[in-house]
Amino acid sequence: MHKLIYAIIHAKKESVCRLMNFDIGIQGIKGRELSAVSFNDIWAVVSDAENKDSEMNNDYALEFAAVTEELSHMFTLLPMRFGSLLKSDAEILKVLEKNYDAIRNNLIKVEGKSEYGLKVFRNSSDIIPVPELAEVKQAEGNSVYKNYILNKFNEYRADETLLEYSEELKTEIAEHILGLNAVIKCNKVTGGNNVYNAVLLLEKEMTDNLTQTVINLQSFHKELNMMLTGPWAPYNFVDITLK
Amino acid sequence: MKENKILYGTEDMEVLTAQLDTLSAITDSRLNVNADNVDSGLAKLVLTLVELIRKLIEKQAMRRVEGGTLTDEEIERLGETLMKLENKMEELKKYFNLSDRDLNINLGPLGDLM
Repeated sequence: MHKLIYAIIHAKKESVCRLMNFDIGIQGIKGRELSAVSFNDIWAVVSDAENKDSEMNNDYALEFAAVTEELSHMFTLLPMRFGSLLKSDAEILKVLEKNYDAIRNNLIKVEGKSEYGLKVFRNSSDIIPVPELAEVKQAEGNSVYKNYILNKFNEYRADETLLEYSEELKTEIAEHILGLNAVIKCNKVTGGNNVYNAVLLLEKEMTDNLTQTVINLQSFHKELNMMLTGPWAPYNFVDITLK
Repeated sequence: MKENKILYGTEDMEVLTAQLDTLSAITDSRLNVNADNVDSGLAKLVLTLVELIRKLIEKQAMRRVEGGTLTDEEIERLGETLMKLENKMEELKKYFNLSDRDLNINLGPLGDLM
Protein backbone atom coordinates (compact mmCIF):
# COMPACT_ATOMS: atom_id res chain seq x y z
CA MET A 1 0.00 0.00 0.00
CA HIS A 2 1.24 3.50 -0.91
CA LYS A 3 0.20 6.99 0.12
CA LEU A 4 -1.40 9.29 -2.45
CA ILE A 5 -0.79 13.00 -1.77
CA TYR A 6 -3.60 15.37 -2.75
CA ALA A 7 -2.25 18.69 -1.58
CA ILE A 8 0.02 20.39 0.87
CA ILE A 9 -1.83 22.83 3.06
CA HIS A 10 -0.94 25.50 5.54
CA ALA A 11 -3.21 25.31 8.55
CA LYS A 12 -3.48 25.53 12.28
CA LYS A 13 -3.65 22.21 14.05
CA GLU A 14 -7.34 22.47 14.98
CA SER A 15 -8.49 22.85 11.36
CA VAL A 16 -6.57 19.78 10.29
CA CYS A 17 -7.90 17.84 13.26
CA ARG A 18 -11.37 18.58 11.92
CA LEU A 19 -10.27 17.30 8.55
CA MET A 20 -8.92 14.12 10.05
CA ASN A 21 -12.09 13.60 12.07
CA PHE A 22 -14.13 13.89 8.86
CA ASP A 23 -16.27 16.73 10.21
CA ILE A 24 -16.05 18.24 6.75
CA GLY A 25 -17.10 15.14 4.88
CA ILE A 26 -14.32 14.89 2.31
CA GLN A 27 -13.18 11.50 1.12
CA GLY A 28 -10.30 10.54 -1.10
CA ILE A 29 -10.52 8.66 -4.38
CA LYS A 30 -12.48 5.40 -4.21
CA GLY A 31 -14.08 6.72 -1.00
CA ARG A 32 -10.87 6.23 0.95
CA GLU A 33 -10.26 8.03 4.22
CA LEU A 34 -8.14 11.14 4.21
CA SER A 35 -5.41 11.68 6.73
CA ALA A 36 -2.70 14.27 7.19
CA VAL A 37 1.05 14.16 7.74
CA SER A 38 2.49 17.30 9.30
CA PHE A 39 5.76 19.10 9.69
CA ASN A 40 5.52 22.36 11.64
CA ASP A 41 2.59 24.26 10.16
CA ILE A 42 2.41 22.45 6.82
CA TRP A 43 0.37 19.32 6.22
CA ALA A 44 0.25 16.81 3.41
CA VAL A 45 -3.28 15.52 2.88
CA VAL A 46 -3.09 11.87 1.89
CA SER A 47 -5.03 8.65 1.51
CA ASP A 48 -3.99 5.07 1.00
CA ALA A 49 -3.53 4.00 -2.60
CA GLU A 50 -2.60 0.97 -4.62
CA ASN A 51 0.35 1.15 -6.97
CA LYS A 52 0.55 3.72 -9.69
CA ASP A 53 -0.65 1.63 -12.66
CA SER A 54 -3.86 0.31 -11.14
CA GLU A 55 -5.31 3.59 -9.88
CA MET A 56 -3.67 6.48 -11.63
CA ASN A 57 -5.96 6.58 -14.62
CA ASN A 58 -8.37 9.12 -16.08
CA ASP A 59 -11.31 7.69 -14.13
CA TYR A 60 -9.88 8.80 -10.84
CA ALA A 61 -8.37 12.07 -12.01
CA LEU A 62 -11.67 13.92 -11.60
CA GLU A 63 -12.22 12.49 -8.12
CA PHE A 64 -8.71 13.58 -7.24
CA ALA A 65 -9.35 17.11 -8.56
CA ALA A 66 -12.62 17.28 -6.60
CA VAL A 67 -10.76 16.57 -3.35
CA THR A 68 -8.24 19.32 -4.13
CA GLU A 69 -11.09 21.67 -4.88
CA GLU A 70 -12.94 20.95 -1.64
CA LEU A 71 -9.74 21.47 0.31
CA SER A 72 -9.04 24.74 -1.49
CA HIS A 73 -12.28 26.19 -0.07
CA MET A 74 -10.95 25.64 3.45
CA PHE A 75 -7.19 26.01 3.28
CA THR A 76 -4.40 27.75 1.45
CA LEU A 77 -2.91 24.87 -0.47
CA LEU A 78 -0.43 23.70 -3.04
CA PRO A 79 -2.15 21.13 -5.26
CA MET A 80 -0.12 18.02 -6.04
CA ARG A 81 0.09 16.43 -9.46
CA PHE A 82 -2.30 13.49 -9.83
CA GLY A 83 -0.31 10.32 -9.19
CA SER A 84 2.01 11.71 -6.50
CA LEU A 85 2.63 8.54 -4.55
CA LEU A 86 5.06 7.85 -1.75
CA LYS A 87 5.61 4.64 0.14
CA SER A 88 4.78 5.71 3.68
CA ASP A 89 3.92 8.56 6.04
CA ALA A 90 7.56 8.58 7.14
CA GLU A 91 8.69 9.21 3.59
CA ILE A 92 6.18 12.05 3.24
CA LEU A 93 7.43 13.57 6.45
CA LYS A 94 10.97 13.52 5.09
CA VAL A 95 9.82 15.34 1.94
CA LEU A 96 7.99 18.00 3.97
CA GLU A 97 10.99 18.53 6.18
CA LYS A 98 13.49 18.71 3.33
CA ASN A 99 11.37 21.11 1.28
CA TYR A 100 9.87 23.13 4.10
CA ASP A 101 11.25 26.54 3.05
CA ALA A 102 10.25 26.17 -0.59
CA ILE A 103 6.77 24.92 0.37
CA ARG A 104 6.24 27.78 2.83
CA ASN A 105 7.38 30.37 0.29
CA ASN A 106 4.94 29.00 -2.27
CA LEU A 107 2.13 28.90 0.25
CA ILE A 108 2.76 32.54 1.16
CA LYS A 109 2.67 33.43 -2.54
CA VAL A 110 -0.79 31.90 -3.05
CA GLU A 111 -2.32 32.71 0.34
CA GLY A 112 -5.88 34.04 0.01
CA LYS A 113 -5.69 33.78 -3.77
CA SER A 114 -7.28 31.62 -6.44
CA GLU A 115 -6.45 30.74 -9.98
CA TYR A 116 -8.69 31.66 -12.90
CA GLY A 117 -8.51 30.63 -16.54
CA LEU A 118 -9.18 33.04 -19.37
CA LYS A 119 -9.48 31.78 -22.91
CA VAL A 120 -10.43 33.84 -25.95
CA PHE A 121 -11.67 32.46 -29.26
CA ARG A 122 -12.34 34.03 -32.61
CA ASN A 123 -15.94 33.70 -33.80
CA SER A 124 -14.63 32.87 -37.20
CA SER A 125 -11.25 32.27 -38.75
CA ASP A 126 -11.92 35.16 -41.18
CA ILE A 127 -11.76 38.02 -38.69
CA ILE A 128 -8.02 38.39 -38.99
CA PRO A 129 -7.14 39.29 -42.57
CA VAL A 130 -4.25 37.40 -44.07
CA PRO A 131 -2.03 39.63 -46.20
CA GLU A 132 -2.11 38.97 -49.89
CA LEU A 133 1.00 37.64 -51.53
CA ALA A 134 2.13 40.67 -53.47
CA GLU A 135 5.02 39.34 -55.48
CA VAL A 136 4.38 35.70 -56.16
CA LYS A 137 0.83 34.63 -56.80
CA GLN A 138 -0.40 31.20 -57.74
CA ALA A 139 -0.72 30.86 -61.45
CA GLU A 140 -1.56 28.04 -63.81
CA GLY A 141 1.93 28.11 -65.21
CA ASN A 142 3.53 27.41 -61.86
CA SER A 143 5.07 24.04 -61.21
CA VAL A 144 3.68 21.77 -58.50
CA TYR A 145 6.73 22.58 -56.33
CA LYS A 146 6.29 26.32 -56.64
CA ASN A 147 2.59 26.06 -55.79
CA TYR A 148 3.50 23.91 -52.81
CA ILE A 149 5.82 26.64 -51.53
CA LEU A 150 3.19 29.31 -52.13
CA ASN A 151 0.59 27.37 -50.16
CA LYS A 152 3.03 26.87 -47.33
CA PHE A 153 3.94 30.54 -47.45
CA ASN A 154 0.25 31.50 -47.16
CA GLU A 155 -0.11 29.26 -44.11
CA TYR A 156 3.04 30.78 -42.65
CA ARG A 157 1.76 34.35 -43.15
CA ALA A 158 -1.61 33.42 -41.64
CA ASP A 159 0.15 31.96 -38.58
CA GLU A 160 2.37 35.02 -38.21
CA THR A 161 -0.62 37.38 -38.52
CA LEU A 162 -2.51 35.38 -35.89
CA LEU A 163 0.52 35.53 -33.63
CA GLU A 164 0.73 39.33 -33.96
CA TYR A 165 -2.99 39.59 -33.23
CA SER A 166 -2.59 37.40 -30.13
CA GLU A 167 0.29 39.56 -28.89
CA GLU A 168 -1.78 42.74 -29.25
CA LEU A 169 -4.65 41.08 -27.42
CA LYS A 170 -2.30 40.02 -24.62
CA THR A 171 -1.23 43.62 -24.11
CA GLU A 172 -4.80 44.89 -24.16
CA ILE A 173 -6.02 42.29 -21.66
CA ALA A 174 -3.03 42.90 -19.39
CA GLU A 175 -3.83 46.64 -19.35
CA HIS A 176 -7.43 45.94 -18.30
CA ILE A 177 -6.50 43.44 -15.63
CA LEU A 178 -3.61 45.51 -14.26
CA GLY A 179 -5.80 47.23 -11.66
CA LEU A 180 -6.82 43.91 -10.13
CA ASN A 181 -3.29 43.22 -9.00
CA ALA A 182 -3.30 39.87 -10.75
CA VAL A 183 -0.39 37.73 -11.81
CA ILE A 184 -0.92 36.67 -15.43
CA LYS A 185 0.70 33.65 -17.00
CA CYS A 186 0.09 33.38 -20.74
CA ASN A 187 0.16 29.89 -22.20
CA LYS A 188 0.40 28.72 -25.76
CA VAL A 189 -2.88 28.97 -27.63
CA THR A 190 -4.54 25.59 -28.04
CA GLY A 191 -5.07 25.77 -31.80
CA GLY A 192 -8.22 26.27 -33.87
CA ASN A 193 -9.83 29.62 -33.12
CA ASN A 194 -8.11 30.08 -29.76
CA VAL A 195 -6.25 33.42 -29.76
CA TYR A 196 -5.53 33.89 -26.06
CA ASN A 197 -4.98 31.40 -23.27
CA ALA A 198 -3.90 32.52 -19.85
CA VAL A 199 -4.17 31.72 -16.17
CA LEU A 200 -4.44 34.42 -13.54
CA LEU A 201 -3.74 34.45 -9.84
CA LEU A 202 -5.58 37.00 -7.75
CA GLU A 203 -7.26 37.61 -4.42
CA LYS A 204 -10.41 35.51 -3.97
CA GLU A 205 -12.51 38.57 -3.19
CA MET A 206 -11.62 40.08 -6.58
CA THR A 207 -13.60 37.41 -8.44
CA ASP A 208 -16.53 39.72 -9.25
CA ASN A 209 -14.20 42.50 -10.40
CA LEU A 210 -12.42 40.08 -12.70
CA THR A 211 -15.71 38.83 -14.13
CA GLN A 212 -16.82 42.42 -14.76
CA THR A 213 -13.51 43.23 -16.44
CA VAL A 214 -13.95 40.29 -18.79
CA ILE A 215 -17.53 41.33 -19.55
CA ASN A 216 -16.26 44.82 -20.40
CA LEU A 217 -13.55 43.41 -22.64
CA GLN A 218 -16.11 41.22 -24.37
CA SER A 219 -18.27 44.25 -25.09
CA PHE A 220 -15.33 45.88 -26.95
CA HIS A 221 -14.73 42.74 -28.99
CA LYS A 222 -17.89 41.37 -30.54
CA GLU A 223 -15.75 39.33 -32.89
CA LEU A 224 -14.38 37.30 -29.98
CA ASN A 225 -15.76 34.83 -27.46
CA MET A 226 -14.28 35.05 -23.98
CA MET A 227 -14.46 32.29 -21.41
CA LEU A 228 -13.51 32.85 -17.79
CA THR A 229 -13.32 29.87 -15.45
CA GLY A 230 -12.53 29.47 -11.80
CA PRO A 231 -11.85 29.77 -8.99
CA TRP A 232 -9.33 26.93 -9.13
CA ALA A 233 -6.61 25.80 -6.79
CA PRO A 234 -3.35 27.48 -7.90
CA TYR A 235 -2.23 24.65 -10.19
CA ASN A 236 -0.16 26.89 -12.44
CA PHE A 237 1.45 29.08 -9.81
CA VAL A 238 3.34 26.56 -7.76
CA ASP A 239 7.02 26.86 -8.49
CA ILE A 240 8.59 23.98 -6.64
CA THR A 241 10.34 20.72 -7.40
CA LEU A 242 10.12 18.45 -4.38
CA LYS A 243 13.41 16.79 -3.50
CA MET B 1 -16.45 19.44 -9.88
CA LYS B 2 -19.45 20.22 -7.75
CA GLU B 3 -19.93 23.85 -8.76
CA ASN B 4 -20.17 25.58 -12.08
CA LYS B 5 -16.70 26.77 -12.94
CA ILE B 6 -17.63 28.98 -15.87
CA LEU B 7 -17.78 32.48 -14.43
CA TYR B 8 -18.39 34.05 -17.78
CA GLY B 9 -18.36 32.50 -21.17
CA THR B 10 -19.57 31.44 -24.46
CA GLU B 11 -22.59 29.25 -24.93
CA ASP B 12 -21.09 28.06 -28.17
CA MET B 13 -20.94 24.30 -27.74
CA GLU B 14 -18.41 24.00 -30.56
CA VAL B 15 -15.94 26.05 -28.58
CA LEU B 16 -16.42 23.96 -25.47
CA THR B 17 -16.19 20.71 -27.41
CA ALA B 18 -12.95 21.88 -29.00
CA GLN B 19 -11.57 22.49 -25.53
CA LEU B 20 -12.55 19.00 -24.42
CA ASP B 21 -10.78 17.62 -27.48
CA THR B 22 -7.70 19.55 -26.44
CA LEU B 23 -7.85 18.04 -22.96
CA SER B 24 -8.06 14.49 -24.27
CA ALA B 25 -5.24 15.30 -26.67
CA ILE B 26 -3.11 16.28 -23.67
CA THR B 27 -3.63 12.94 -21.94
CA ASP B 28 -3.06 11.09 -25.20
CA SER B 29 0.09 13.01 -25.95
CA ARG B 30 2.10 11.87 -22.96
CA LEU B 31 4.85 9.48 -23.92
CA ASN B 32 4.04 6.03 -22.69
CA VAL B 33 6.86 3.64 -23.41
CA ASN B 34 6.95 0.27 -21.69
CA ALA B 35 8.15 -3.27 -22.39
CA ASP B 36 4.99 -4.11 -24.35
CA ASN B 37 4.96 -1.16 -26.72
CA VAL B 38 8.61 -0.27 -27.01
CA ASP B 39 8.56 -0.31 -30.85
CA SER B 40 5.62 2.03 -31.34
CA GLY B 41 6.62 4.17 -28.34
CA LEU B 42 10.10 4.65 -29.73
CA ALA B 43 8.78 5.31 -33.24
CA LYS B 44 6.47 7.96 -31.83
CA LEU B 45 9.35 9.64 -30.01
CA VAL B 46 11.72 9.56 -33.01
CA LEU B 47 9.08 10.72 -35.49
CA THR B 48 8.03 13.53 -33.15
CA LEU B 49 11.59 14.81 -33.12
CA VAL B 50 11.91 14.43 -36.90
CA GLU B 51 8.62 16.31 -37.34
CA LEU B 52 9.85 19.08 -35.07
CA ILE B 53 13.03 19.45 -37.12
CA ARG B 54 11.04 19.31 -40.38
CA LYS B 55 8.79 22.12 -39.17
CA LEU B 56 11.77 24.21 -38.12
CA ILE B 57 13.34 23.74 -41.55
CA GLU B 58 10.03 24.68 -43.18
CA LYS B 59 9.73 27.83 -41.06
CA GLN B 60 13.28 28.83 -41.88
CA ALA B 61 12.53 28.29 -45.57
CA MET B 62 9.44 30.50 -45.34
CA ARG B 63 11.53 33.25 -43.79
CA ARG B 64 13.84 33.05 -46.79
CA VAL B 65 10.88 33.22 -49.18
CA GLU B 66 9.60 36.22 -47.24
CA GLY B 67 13.00 37.87 -47.52
CA GLY B 68 12.51 37.83 -51.30
CA THR B 69 16.07 36.85 -52.06
CA LEU B 70 15.38 33.45 -53.60
CA THR B 71 15.40 32.99 -57.35
CA ASP B 72 12.64 31.04 -59.13
CA GLU B 73 15.00 28.12 -59.49
CA GLU B 74 15.79 28.11 -55.77
CA ILE B 75 12.08 28.25 -54.91
CA GLU B 76 11.51 25.24 -57.18
CA ARG B 77 14.28 23.26 -55.48
CA LEU B 78 13.07 24.26 -52.03
CA GLY B 79 9.51 23.25 -52.91
CA GLU B 80 10.66 19.89 -54.21
CA THR B 81 12.72 19.16 -51.07
CA LEU B 82 10.03 20.21 -48.60
CA MET B 83 7.29 18.39 -50.47
CA LYS B 84 9.29 15.15 -50.60
CA LEU B 85 10.13 15.51 -46.91
CA GLU B 86 6.46 15.95 -46.03
CA ASN B 87 5.42 12.99 -48.20
CA LYS B 88 8.06 10.81 -46.56
CA MET B 89 6.77 11.79 -43.13
CA GLU B 90 3.24 10.86 -44.21
CA GLU B 91 4.51 7.42 -45.31
CA LEU B 92 6.26 6.86 -41.99
CA LYS B 93 3.22 7.96 -39.99
CA LYS B 94 1.07 5.54 -41.95
CA TYR B 95 3.59 2.74 -41.49
CA PHE B 96 3.65 3.20 -37.70
CA ASN B 97 -0.07 3.96 -37.54
CA LEU B 98 0.44 7.43 -36.06
CA SER B 99 -1.67 10.54 -36.56
CA ASP B 100 -0.64 14.22 -36.51
CA ARG B 101 -1.98 14.43 -32.98
CA ASP B 102 0.33 11.60 -31.92
CA LEU B 103 3.35 13.53 -33.12
CA ASN B 104 3.36 16.01 -30.31
CA ILE B 105 4.54 15.59 -26.79
CA ASN B 106 2.99 17.27 -23.82
CA LEU B 107 5.79 18.69 -21.72
CA GLY B 108 3.67 19.34 -18.65
CA PRO B 109 4.05 22.90 -17.42
CA LEU B 110 5.93 23.86 -20.61
CA GLY B 111 2.94 22.97 -22.79
CA ASP B 112 3.06 21.05 -26.04
CA LEU B 113 6.29 20.56 -27.91
CA MET B 114 4.73 21.88 -31.13
